[in-house]
Amino acid sequence: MSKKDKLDTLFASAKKVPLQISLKEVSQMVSTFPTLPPPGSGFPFNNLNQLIMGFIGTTTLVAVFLFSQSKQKEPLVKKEYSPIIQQEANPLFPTDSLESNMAQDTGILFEPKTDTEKGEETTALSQAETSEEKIVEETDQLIGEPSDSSTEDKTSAVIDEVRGEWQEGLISSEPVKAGVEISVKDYPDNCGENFRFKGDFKFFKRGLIRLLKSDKLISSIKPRILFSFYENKIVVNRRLIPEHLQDAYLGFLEAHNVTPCPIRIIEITPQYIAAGDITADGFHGRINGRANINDIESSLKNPIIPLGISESKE
Amino acid sequence: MVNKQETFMQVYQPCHEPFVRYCSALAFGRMDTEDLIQDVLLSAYQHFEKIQKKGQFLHYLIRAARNRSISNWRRRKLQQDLLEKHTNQLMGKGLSPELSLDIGLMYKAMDKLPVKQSEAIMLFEISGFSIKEIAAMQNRSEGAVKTTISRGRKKLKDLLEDSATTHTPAHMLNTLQTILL
Repeated sequence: MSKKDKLDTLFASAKKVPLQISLKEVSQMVSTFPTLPPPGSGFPFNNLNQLIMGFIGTTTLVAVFLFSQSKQKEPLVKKEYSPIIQQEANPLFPTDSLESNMAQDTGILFEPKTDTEKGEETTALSQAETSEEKIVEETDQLIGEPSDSSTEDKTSAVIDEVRGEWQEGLISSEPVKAGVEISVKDYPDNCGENFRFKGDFKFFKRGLIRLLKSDKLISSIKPRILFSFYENKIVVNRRLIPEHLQDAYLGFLEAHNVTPCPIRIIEITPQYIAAGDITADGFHGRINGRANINDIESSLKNPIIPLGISESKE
Repeated sequence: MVNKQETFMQVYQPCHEPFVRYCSALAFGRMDTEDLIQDVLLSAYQHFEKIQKKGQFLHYLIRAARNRSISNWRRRKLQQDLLEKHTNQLMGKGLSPELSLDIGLMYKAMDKLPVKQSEAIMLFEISGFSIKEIAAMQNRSEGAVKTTISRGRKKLKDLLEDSATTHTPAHMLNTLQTILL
């Protein structure tokens, strides 16, 4: 038998093989179909590709969702209040010189002040006060301790000097700039001699910005906002506040002990807030945040005249 | 529901023999024939209303069986235990053991042919379809189907010759001699 014949025989034999399943069996099978679930109605992923793509898609969606959530949680404006480093802020700050003088006289090195590092809100004024008081306290402690009589004499001399200054009182009764005398003529008549900010700086800043925004005097809180006074009227960023708003703002400021004065300013920036007076000697007031005091002083050397008025004068 | 079953069986009845033969050839050594038939019939039953040309129901069944077997083949290659099982089934149907083994070898050789050739041979030689019907099923010309079948047969013949020579005792002795020397 040739190969071709053999192949034909095989095909013929395969064709003659009895069927594996009869028509009756198929009929029985079909009768059970209505009770069966439709094909492919179970697990949604029938092959590996669908499974992988589904997993990747889900993972990507979850990642995007979580990423967007984490972005939303970040604050729009990052507020950082770090303490003023005294040397950086005002290298000529007199308390250092006083300390160094004392150190030279007494031979005792003073520890750097830690209260400036602890407090979030630091003021030049309170610093100066506390530094003076600290010096007195520390000196008192030193007196109590056994020491050489020569050192004791020197220390007591220094204490007398400090106390003497304190008792005599500087103009503002605030020995901020020890060794530098602030003359009365620096303060105009209508300014109180004792400017001391009252209240919480953060609360003050928030309230002021809210007021300014509601009155549409500022469009954004990010740029520098400079409050000054011109003829007992409030000037914001060198623009006079409208007459009908003056009383409201004056009331708000007076609540914090900020009275109209030509040399008085309130400066608000995202980095810091400063409220105080600018005299020939520099800035006297309170600062919260990280500020370069030289910038504050230099920007206010000249008296602030509102824009409309200065143009008309020119 | 009963009407649907009756209608389905009426339409299915003339398709039964070629369809089962084709499924047997397709599933040989790869999967259980009954599983394939049941799977295809269930699918056809579910979509029976959607089949517009009831006269071409056989074509639908053949195509469905082919698609299912192809997707199944991708997952599972030829299985030796199934091959033996199907060969034993052939013996149980009254065929001689030698013929059953030969048919098994033929199906195994057909597995090595290209899909189009093996499918055409299955349809023409085993299921008993005419060239015209195969051409209609495969959307090809009759000439192309004839050529495919002819080439398939030739290749199958060669494959069977090779398998025959490799499995003869003389060939095995030759191989053993080569290894020993």
